[in-house]
Amino acid sequence: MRPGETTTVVMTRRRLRPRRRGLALKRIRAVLAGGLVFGVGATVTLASWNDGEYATGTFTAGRFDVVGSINGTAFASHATAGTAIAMTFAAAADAAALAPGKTVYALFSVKTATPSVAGTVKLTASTYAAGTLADYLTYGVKTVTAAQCASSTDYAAAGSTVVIADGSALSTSATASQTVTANGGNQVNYCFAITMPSTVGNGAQGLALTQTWQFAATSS
Amino acid sequence: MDTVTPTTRNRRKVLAVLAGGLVLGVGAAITLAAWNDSEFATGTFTAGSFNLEGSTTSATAGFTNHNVTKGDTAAALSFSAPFSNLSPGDVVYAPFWVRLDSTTTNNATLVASTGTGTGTNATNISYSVYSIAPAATCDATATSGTLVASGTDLTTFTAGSSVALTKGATAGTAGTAAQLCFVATAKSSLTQGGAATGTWSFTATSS
Repeated sequence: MRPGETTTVVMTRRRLRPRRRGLALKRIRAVLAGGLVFGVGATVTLASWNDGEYATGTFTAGRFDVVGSINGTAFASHATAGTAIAMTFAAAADAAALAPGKTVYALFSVKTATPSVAGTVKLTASTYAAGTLADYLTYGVKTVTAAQCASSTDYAAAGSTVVIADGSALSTSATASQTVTANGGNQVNYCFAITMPSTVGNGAQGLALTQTWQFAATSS
Repeated sequence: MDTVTPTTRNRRKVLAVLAGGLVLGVGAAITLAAWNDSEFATGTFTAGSFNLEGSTTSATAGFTNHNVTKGDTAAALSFSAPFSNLSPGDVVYAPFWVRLDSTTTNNATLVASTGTGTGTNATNISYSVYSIAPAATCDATATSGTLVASGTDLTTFTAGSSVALTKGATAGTAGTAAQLCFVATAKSSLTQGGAATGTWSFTATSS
Protein backbone atom coordinates (compact mmCIF):
# COMPACT_ATOMS: atom_id res chain seq x y z
CA MET A 1 0.00 0.00 0.00
CA ARG A 2 1.06 3.42 -0.74
CA PRO A 3 1.18 5.95 2.14
CA GLY A 4 -1.91 8.11 2.35
CA GLU A 5 -4.31 5.59 1.00
CA THR A 6 -5.36 4.38 4.46
CA THR A 7 -6.65 7.78 5.59
CA THR A 8 -10.06 7.54 4.09
CA VAL A 9 -11.65 4.05 4.16
CA VAL A 10 -14.86 5.15 2.54
CA MET A 11 -12.98 6.67 -0.26
CA THR A 12 -11.14 3.45 -0.59
CA ARG A 13 -14.36 1.47 -0.99
CA ARG A 14 -15.71 3.95 -3.41
CA ARG A 15 -12.59 3.59 -5.38
CA LEU A 16 -12.76 -0.24 -5.30
CA ARG A 17 -15.75 -0.40 -7.64
CA PRO A 18 -14.07 1.28 -10.48
CA ARG A 19 -11.11 -1.00 -9.87
CA ARG A 20 -13.27 -4.11 -10.11
CA ARG A 21 -14.75 -2.74 -13.29
CA GLY A 22 -11.25 -2.32 -14.58
CA LEU A 23 -10.45 -5.89 -13.69
CA ALA A 24 -13.41 -7.13 -15.68
CA LEU A 25 -12.33 -5.05 -18.58
CA LYS A 26 -8.85 -6.48 -18.22
CA ARG A 27 -10.30 -9.98 -18.20
CA ILE A 28 -12.35 -9.28 -21.29
CA ARG A 29 -9.32 -7.80 -22.90
CA ALA A 30 -7.30 -10.83 -21.88
CA VAL A 31 -9.89 -13.17 -23.32
CA LEU A 32 -10.07 -11.09 -26.46
CA ALA A 33 -6.32 -10.97 -26.58
CA GLY A 34 -6.26 -14.74 -26.07
CA GLY A 35 -8.74 -15.11 -28.85
CA LEU A 36 -6.60 -12.91 -30.94
CA VAL A 37 -3.60 -14.99 -30.08
CA PHE A 38 -5.58 -18.10 -30.86
CA GLY A 39 -6.57 -16.59 -34.19
CA VAL A 40 -3.01 -15.73 -34.93
CA GLY A 41 -2.00 -19.25 -33.97
CA ALA A 42 -4.65 -20.68 -36.24
CA THR A 43 -3.44 -18.55 -39.08
CA VAL A 44 0.10 -19.75 -38.58
CA THR A 45 -1.08 -23.36 -38.52
CA LEU A 46 -2.83 -22.91 -41.84
CA ALA A 47 0.29 -21.45 -43.49
CA SER A 48 2.03 -24.86 -43.42
CA TRP A 49 5.46 -25.53 -44.86
CA ASN A 50 5.73 -26.16 -48.55
CA ASP A 51 8.14 -28.08 -50.69
CA GLY A 52 8.03 -29.18 -54.31
CA GLU A 53 9.42 -31.81 -56.57
CA TYR A 54 10.08 -30.94 -60.21
CA ALA A 55 10.63 -33.36 -63.13
CA THR A 56 11.48 -32.54 -66.75
CA GLY A 57 11.02 -34.49 -69.92
CA THR A 58 13.32 -33.73 -72.85
CA PHE A 59 12.04 -34.56 -76.30
CA THR A 60 13.97 -34.56 -79.57
CA ALA A 61 12.45 -35.26 -82.96
CA GLY A 62 14.04 -38.22 -84.69
CA ARG A 63 15.56 -38.22 -88.15
CA PHE A 64 14.75 -40.28 -91.18
CA ASP A 65 17.53 -40.59 -93.69
CA VAL A 66 18.28 -43.34 -96.17
CA VAL A 67 21.58 -43.71 -97.93
CA GLY A 68 22.58 -45.76 -100.93
CA SER A 69 25.65 -47.46 -102.33
CA ILE A 70 26.63 -48.97 -105.66
CA ASN A 71 29.28 -51.22 -104.15
CA GLY A 72 27.59 -52.24 -100.91
CA THR A 73 30.15 -50.57 -98.67
CA ALA A 74 30.44 -46.83 -99.38
CA PHE A 75 27.10 -45.24 -98.59
CA ALA A 76 26.05 -41.68 -99.32
CA SER A 77 22.88 -39.71 -99.86
CA HIS A 78 21.55 -39.21 -103.39
CA ALA A 79 18.28 -37.59 -102.52
CA THR A 80 17.32 -36.07 -105.86
CA ALA A 81 17.27 -37.23 -109.43
CA GLY A 82 19.92 -34.62 -110.12
CA THR A 83 22.29 -36.17 -107.61
CA ALA A 84 21.58 -39.73 -108.62
CA ILE A 85 24.53 -42.06 -108.57
CA ALA A 86 25.37 -44.06 -111.67
CA MET A 87 25.22 -47.78 -111.16
CA THR A 88 28.06 -49.90 -112.50
CA PHE A 89 26.77 -52.58 -114.80
CA ALA A 90 28.65 -55.77 -115.47
CA ALA A 91 29.91 -56.86 -117.85
CA ALA A 92 31.03 -53.34 -118.71
CA ALA A 93 31.67 -54.21 -122.34
CA ASP A 94 28.15 -55.53 -122.72
CA ALA A 95 26.62 -52.48 -121.02
CA ALA A 96 28.48 -50.25 -123.45
CA ALA A 97 27.33 -52.31 -126.43
CA LEU A 98 24.16 -54.15 -125.60
CA ALA A 99 23.23 -56.74 -128.14
CA PRO A 100 20.21 -59.02 -128.43
CA GLY A 101 20.31 -61.73 -125.81
CA LYS A 102 22.65 -59.81 -123.52
CA THR A 103 21.91 -59.14 -119.86
CA VAL A 104 23.91 -56.79 -117.65
CA TYR A 105 23.83 -56.68 -113.85
CA ALA A 106 24.30 -53.97 -111.23
CA LEU A 107 24.00 -53.61 -107.48
CA PHE A 108 22.35 -50.86 -105.50
CA SER A 109 22.22 -51.13 -101.71
CA VAL A 110 19.98 -49.04 -99.47
CA LYS A 111 20.01 -48.64 -95.69
CA THR A 112 19.13 -46.00 -93.12
CA ALA A 113 21.77 -43.56 -91.99
CA THR A 114 22.92 -43.16 -88.37
CA PRO A 115 20.91 -41.74 -86.75
CA SER A 116 17.68 -42.55 -88.47
CA VAL A 117 14.42 -44.16 -87.59
CA ALA A 118 13.28 -47.28 -89.40
CA GLY A 119 11.22 -47.26 -92.57
CA THR A 120 10.31 -48.96 -95.79
CA VAL A 121 11.79 -48.58 -99.27
CA LYS A 122 9.93 -48.93 -102.52
CA LEU A 123 11.58 -49.12 -105.92
CA THR A 124 10.05 -46.77 -108.48
CA ALA A 125 10.94 -46.27 -112.11
CA SER A 126 11.67 -42.56 -112.04
CA THR A 127 11.92 -41.74 -115.71
CA TYR A 128 10.89 -43.51 -118.84
CA ALA A 129 12.09 -42.08 -122.10
CA ALA A 130 9.81 -43.49 -124.76
CA GLY A 131 11.20 -43.66 -128.26
CA THR A 132 14.69 -44.48 -127.05
CA LEU A 133 16.52 -47.65 -126.20
CA ALA A 134 14.11 -47.92 -123.27
CA ASP A 135 11.51 -49.34 -125.65
CA TYR A 136 13.74 -52.30 -126.41
CA LEU A 137 15.06 -53.20 -122.97
CA THR A 138 13.43 -55.18 -120.19
CA TYR A 139 14.53 -55.60 -116.63
CA GLY A 140 14.11 -57.50 -113.44
CA VAL A 141 15.14 -56.72 -109.87
CA LYS A 142 15.73 -59.02 -106.94
CA THR A 143 16.93 -58.42 -103.43
CA VAL A 144 19.99 -60.52 -102.75
CA THR A 145 21.59 -61.51 -99.47
CA ALA A 146 25.17 -60.66 -100.37
CA ALA A 147 26.08 -57.21 -101.63
CA GLN A 148 27.16 -58.65 -104.94
CA CYS A 149 25.43 -58.45 -108.30
CA ALA A 150 27.65 -58.90 -111.29
CA SER A 151 26.40 -62.04 -112.98
CA SER A 152 23.43 -64.29 -113.51
CA THR A 153 24.78 -66.41 -110.66
CA ASP A 154 24.63 -63.49 -108.24
CA TYR A 155 21.19 -62.60 -109.51
CA ALA A 156 19.85 -66.07 -108.89
CA ALA A 157 21.75 -66.67 -105.65
CA ALA A 158 20.01 -68.43 -102.79
CA GLY A 159 17.88 -66.08 -100.72
CA SER A 160 17.08 -63.74 -103.58
CA THR A 161 13.57 -62.36 -103.66
CA VAL A 162 11.83 -60.95 -106.69
CA VAL A 163 11.08 -57.22 -106.50
CA ILE A 164 10.34 -56.73 -110.19
CA ALA A 165 9.68 -59.74 -112.36
CA ASP A 166 12.09 -60.50 -115.18
CA GLY A 167 11.02 -59.22 -118.55
CA SER A 168 9.26 -56.13 -117.19
CA ALA A 169 9.31 -52.90 -119.16
CA LEU A 170 11.64 -50.21 -117.82
CA SER A 171 8.59 -48.19 -116.79
CA THR A 172 7.60 -50.84 -114.24
CA SER A 173 7.68 -49.94 -110.53
CA ALA A 174 7.68 -52.34 -107.63
CA THR A 175 4.45 -53.13 -105.83
CA ALA A 176 6.00 -54.37 -102.59
CA SER A 177 8.40 -52.47 -100.38
CA GLN A 178 11.40 -53.55 -98.32
CA THR A 179 12.06 -52.81 -94.67
CA VAL A 180 15.08 -50.88 -93.46
CA THR A 181 15.67 -50.89 -89.72
CA ALA A 182 16.84 -47.89 -87.71
CA ASN A 183 20.41 -46.60 -87.67
CA GLY A 184 21.60 -48.64 -90.61
CA GLY A 185 20.67 -51.88 -88.90
CA ASN A 186 20.13 -53.74 -92.13
CA GLN A 187 21.05 -53.25 -95.76
CA VAL A 188 18.79 -54.06 -98.68
CA ASN A 189 20.80 -55.17 -101.71
CA TYR A 190 18.94 -54.68 -104.97
CA CYS A 191 20.28 -56.69 -107.87
CA PHE A 192 19.33 -55.20 -111.26
CA ALA A 193 19.29 -57.28 -114.42
CA ILE A 194 18.83 -55.30 -117.64
CA THR A 195 18.18 -57.38 -120.72
CA MET A 196 18.07 -56.75 -124.42
CA PRO A 197 15.79 -59.58 -125.50
CA SER A 198 17.06 -61.81 -128.29
CA THR A 199 14.03 -60.78 -130.35
CA VAL A 200 15.15 -57.15 -130.60
CA GLY A 201 15.68 -56.16 -134.22
CA ASN A 202 18.26 -53.99 -135.93
CA GLY A 203 16.25 -50.86 -135.07
CA ALA A 204 17.81 -50.76 -131.63
CA GLN A 205 21.35 -50.51 -132.95
CA GLY A 206 23.33 -47.54 -131.74
CA LEU A 207 20.63 -46.20 -129.40
CA ALA A 208 21.50 -45.04 -125.90
CA LEU A 209 19.61 -44.52 -122.67
CA THR A 210 20.11 -43.29 -119.15
CA GLN A 211 17.43 -44.67 -116.89
CA THR A 212 16.77 -43.33 -113.38
CA TRP A 213 15.31 -45.33 -110.56
CA GLN A 214 13.98 -43.90 -107.31
CA PHE A 215 14.09 -45.74 -104.02
CA ALA A 216 11.28 -43.95 -102.19
CA ALA A 217 11.64 -44.43 -98.45
CA THR A 218 8.96 -43.76 -95.84
CA SER A 219 9.51 -43.73 -92.10
CA SER A 220 7.52 -46.12 -90.00
CA MET B 1 -30.89 -31.36 -60.69
CA ASP B 2 -31.08 -29.53 -64.03
CA THR B 3 -34.16 -30.00 -66.00
CA VAL B 4 -32.77 -31.22 -69.30
CA THR B 5 -35.19 -31.81 -72.09
CA PRO B 6 -34.67 -34.99 -74.19
CA THR B 7 -33.87 -32.82 -77.23
CA THR B 8 -30.98 -31.11 -75.45
CA ARG B 9 -29.69 -34.44 -74.20
CA ASN B 10 -29.61 -35.82 -77.74
CA ARG B 11 -27.81 -32.76 -79.02
CA ARG B 12 -25.17 -33.21 -76.32
CA LYS B 13 -24.71 -36.85 -77.30
CA VAL B 14 -24.23 -35.91 -80.95
CA LEU B 15 -21.70 -33.25 -80.02
CA ALA B 16 -19.84 -35.72 -77.84
CA VAL B 17 -19.64 -38.24 -80.67
CA LEU B 18 -18.48 -35.52 -83.07
CA ALA B 19 -15.78 -34.42 -80.65
CA GLY B 20 -14.63 -38.00 -80.32
CA GLY B 21 -14.50 -38.36 -84.07
CA LEU B 22 -12.50 -35.18 -84.38
CA VAL B 23 -9.86 -36.50 -81.99
CA LEU B 24 -9.75 -39.79 -83.87
CA GLY B 25 -9.30 -37.93 -87.16
CA VAL B 26 -6.36 -35.93 -85.86
CA GLY B 27 -4.69 -39.12 -84.66
CA ALA B 28 -5.13 -40.77 -88.04
CA ALA B 29 -3.69 -37.78 -89.88
CA ILE B 30 -0.52 -37.86 -87.79
CA THR B 31 0.01 -41.52 -88.60
CA LEU B 32 -0.23 -40.88 -92.33
CA ALA B 33 2.20 -37.98 -92.28
CA ALA B 34 5.33 -40.12 -92.16
CA TRP B 35 8.74 -38.81 -93.09
CA ASN B 36 10.06 -39.40 -96.55
CA ASP B 37 13.48 -39.67 -98.09
CA SER B 38 14.66 -41.08 -101.37
CA GLU B 39 17.67 -42.54 -103.06
CA PHE B 40 18.18 -42.10 -106.80
CA ALA B 41 20.30 -44.28 -109.02
CA THR B 42 20.82 -44.29 -112.77
CA GLY B 43 21.89 -46.86 -115.29
CA THR B 44 23.33 -45.91 -118.65
CA PHE B 45 23.03 -48.33 -121.52
CA THR B 46 24.14 -48.16 -125.09
CA ALA B 47 23.02 -50.54 -127.75
CA GLY B 48 25.75 -51.99 -129.88
CA SER B 49 26.09 -51.72 -133.64
CA PHE B 50 26.45 -54.59 -136.00
CA ASN B 51 27.27 -54.80 -139.68
CA LEU B 52 28.70 -57.54 -141.84
CA GLU B 53 30.52 -56.63 -145.03
CA GLY B 54 32.08 -58.67 -147.79
CA SER B 55 34.80 -58.48 -150.40
CA THR B 56 35.52 -60.56 -153.48
CA THR B 57 39.02 -59.24 -153.93
CA SER B 58 41.03 -59.32 -150.72
CA ALA B 59 41.08 -60.02 -146.99
CA THR B 60 41.80 -56.36 -146.30
CA ALA B 61 40.24 -54.32 -149.09
CA GLY B 62 37.20 -54.02 -151.30
CA PHE B 63 34.64 -54.50 -148.55
CA THR B 64 31.10 -53.28 -149.09
CA ASN B 65 27.63 -54.28 -148.02
CA HIS B 66 25.83 -56.89 -150.09
CA ASN B 67 22.68 -57.22 -148.07
CA VAL B 68 20.05 -57.82 -150.73
CA THR B 69 17.23 -57.49 -148.21
CA LYS B 70 18.39 -53.91 -147.55
CA GLY B 71 18.54 -53.08 -151.25
CA ASP B 72 22.20 -53.87 -151.79
CA THR B 73 23.48 -55.91 -154.72
CA ALA B 74 24.87 -59.37 -154.17
CA ALA B 75 28.61 -59.67 -154.64
CA ALA B 76 29.60 -61.24 -157.96
CA LEU B 77 32.15 -63.91 -157.21
CA SER B 78 35.18 -64.16 -159.39
CA PHE B 79 35.53 -67.84 -160.18
CA SER B 80 38.71 -69.17 -161.58
CA ALA B 81 38.96 -70.27 -165.17
CA PRO B 82 37.33 -71.95 -166.93
CA PHE B 83 34.17 -70.78 -165.15
CA SER B 84 32.83 -69.36 -168.41
CA ASN B 85 33.72 -72.40 -170.46
CA LEU B 86 33.04 -75.36 -168.25
CA SER B 87 33.17 -78.92 -169.32
CA PRO B 88 32.14 -81.95 -167.28
CA GLY B 89 34.53 -82.61 -164.41
CA ASP B 90 35.89 -79.07 -164.30
CA VAL B 91 36.30 -77.53 -160.87
CA VAL B 92 36.42 -73.79 -160.37
CA TYR B 93 37.16 -71.76 -157.24
CA ALA B 94 36.14 -68.35 -155.92
CA PRO B 95 37.10 -66.60 -152.69
CA PHE B 96 34.78 -64.41 -150.66
CA TRP B 97 35.89 -62.57 -147.58
CA VAL B 98 33.48 -61.43 -144.91
CA ARG B 99 34.17 -59.40 -141.80
CA LEU B 100 32.45 -57.24 -139.16
CA ASP B 101 32.83 -53.59 -140.07
CA SER B 102 34.54 -50.91 -137.99
CA THR B 103 31.34 -49.79 -136.24
CA THR B 104 30.51 -53.26 -134.98
CA THR B 105 30.55 -53.66 -131.23
CA ASN B 106 29.88 -57.35 -130.91
CA ASN B 107 31.42 -60.56 -132.08
CA ALA B 108 29.35 -62.75 -134.31
CA THR B 109 28.70 -66.17 -135.65
CA LEU B 110 28.38 -66.59 -139.39
CA VAL B 111 26.28 -69.30 -140.96
CA ALA B 112 25.36 -70.06 -144.52
CA SER B 113 21.63 -69.41 -144.79
CA THR B 114 20.42 -70.16 -148.27
CA GLY B 115 21.62 -71.39 -151.63
CA THR B 116 19.59 -71.14 -154.79
CA GLY B 117 20.34 -71.70 -158.45
CA THR B 118 18.83 -70.62 -161.73
CA GLY B 119 19.61 -71.32 -165.37
CA THR B 120 19.90 -74.32 -167.67
CA ASN B 121 22.80 -75.90 -165.84
CA ALA B 122 21.66 -75.08 -162.29
CA THR B 123 21.10 -78.75 -161.61
CA ASN B 124 24.35 -79.78 -163.33
CA ILE B 125 26.84 -78.04 -161.06
CA SER B 126 27.57 -79.14 -157.51
CA TYR B 127 29.25 -76.93 -154.97
CA SER B 128 30.91 -76.77 -151.61
CA VAL B 129 31.87 -73.77 -149.51
CA TYR B 130 34.83 -74.03 -147.14
CA SER B 131 36.07 -71.69 -144.49
CA ILE B 132 39.82 -71.19 -144.86
CA ALA B 133 42.48 -68.88 -143.48
CA PRO B 134 42.11 -65.25 -144.64
CA ALA B 135 45.42 -65.26 -146.48
CA ALA B 136 45.14 -68.76 -147.90
CA THR B 137 44.62 -69.34 -151.59
CA CYS B 138 41.22 -70.54 -152.61
CA ASP B 139 42.07 -73.52 -154.71
CA ALA B 140 42.10 -77.32 -154.57
CA THR B 141 43.62 -77.17 -151.10
CA ALA B 142 40.49 -75.51 -149.74
CA THR B 143 38.88 -78.86 -149.07
CA SER B 144 41.02 -79.12 -145.96
CA GLY B 145 39.04 -76.22 -144.52
CA THR B 146 35.77 -76.32 -142.61
CA LEU B 147 32.74 -77.11 -144.72
CA VAL B 148 30.26 -74.27 -144.36
CA ALA B 149 27.73 -75.22 -147.01
CA SER B 150 27.27 -77.69 -149.83
CA GLY B 151 24.84 -78.82 -152.45
CA THR B 152 24.56 -81.64 -154.91
CA ASP B 153 23.58 -78.95 -157.37
CA LEU B 154 23.01 -75.22 -157.29
CA THR B 155 19.34 -75.60 -156.36
CA THR B 156 20.00 -77.58 -153.22
CA PHE B 157 21.49 -76.34 -150.04
CA THR B 158 22.87 -78.05 -146.99
CA ALA B 159 24.24 -75.91 -144.20
CA GLY B 160 27.52 -76.87 -142.60
CA SER B 161 29.51 -75.48 -139.71
CA SER B 162 29.35 -71.91 -138.51
CA VAL B 163 32.25 -69.49 -138.62
CA ALA B 164 33.23 -67.29 -135.69
CA LEU B 165 33.76 -63.63 -136.55
CA THR B 166 35.52 -61.28 -134.18
CA LYS B 167 34.99 -57.54 -134.01
CA GLY B 168 37.89 -55.15 -134.37
CA ALA B 169 40.34 -55.16 -131.50
CA THR B 170 39.82 -51.43 -131.00
CA ALA B 171 36.85 -49.20 -131.73
CA GLY B 172 36.85 -47.98 -135.29
CA THR B 173 38.72 -51.00 -136.55
CA ALA B 174 37.13 -53.67 -138.67
CA GLY B 175 37.27 -57.25 -137.51
CA THR B 176 39.47 -59.90 -139.01
CA ALA B 177 38.06 -61.25 -142.26
CA ALA B 178 37.08 -64.85 -142.72
CA GLN B 179 37.60 -66.36 -146.15
CA LEU B 180 34.95 -68.52 -147.71
CA CYS B 181 36.15 -70.56 -150.63
CA PHE B 182 33.52 -71.63 -153.13
CA VAL B 183 34.27 -74.79 -155.01
CA ALA B 184 32.00 -75.54 -157.99
CA THR B 185 32.20 -78.77 -159.95
CA ALA B 186 30.66 -79.36 -163.37
CA LYS B 187 28.80 -82.62 -163.32
CA SER B 188 28.78 -85.09 -166.19
CA SER B 189 25.24 -84.02 -166.99
CA LEU B 190 26.44 -80.49 -167.88
CA THR B 191 24.53 -79.06 -170.80
CA GLN B 192 26.64 -77.50 -173.49
CA GLY B 193 26.27 -73.75 -173.80
CA GLY B 194 23.91 -73.58 -170.85
CA ALA B 195 24.43 -70.96 -168.16
CA ALA B 196 23.66 -71.16 -164.47
CA THR B 197 23.70 -68.70 -161.61
CA GLY B 198 24.03 -69.67 -158.01
CA THR B 199 23.13 -67.28 -155.19
CA TRP B 200 24.10 -67.84 -151.58
CA SER B 201 23.38 -65.89 -148.48
CA PHE B 202 25.34 -65.80 -145.26
CA THR B 203 24.00 -64.45 -142.02
CA ALA B 204 26.07 -63.13 -139.16
CA THR B 205 24.38 -63.10 -135.77
CA SER B 206 25.76 -61.06 -132.90
CA SER B 207 26.92 -63.05 -129.94
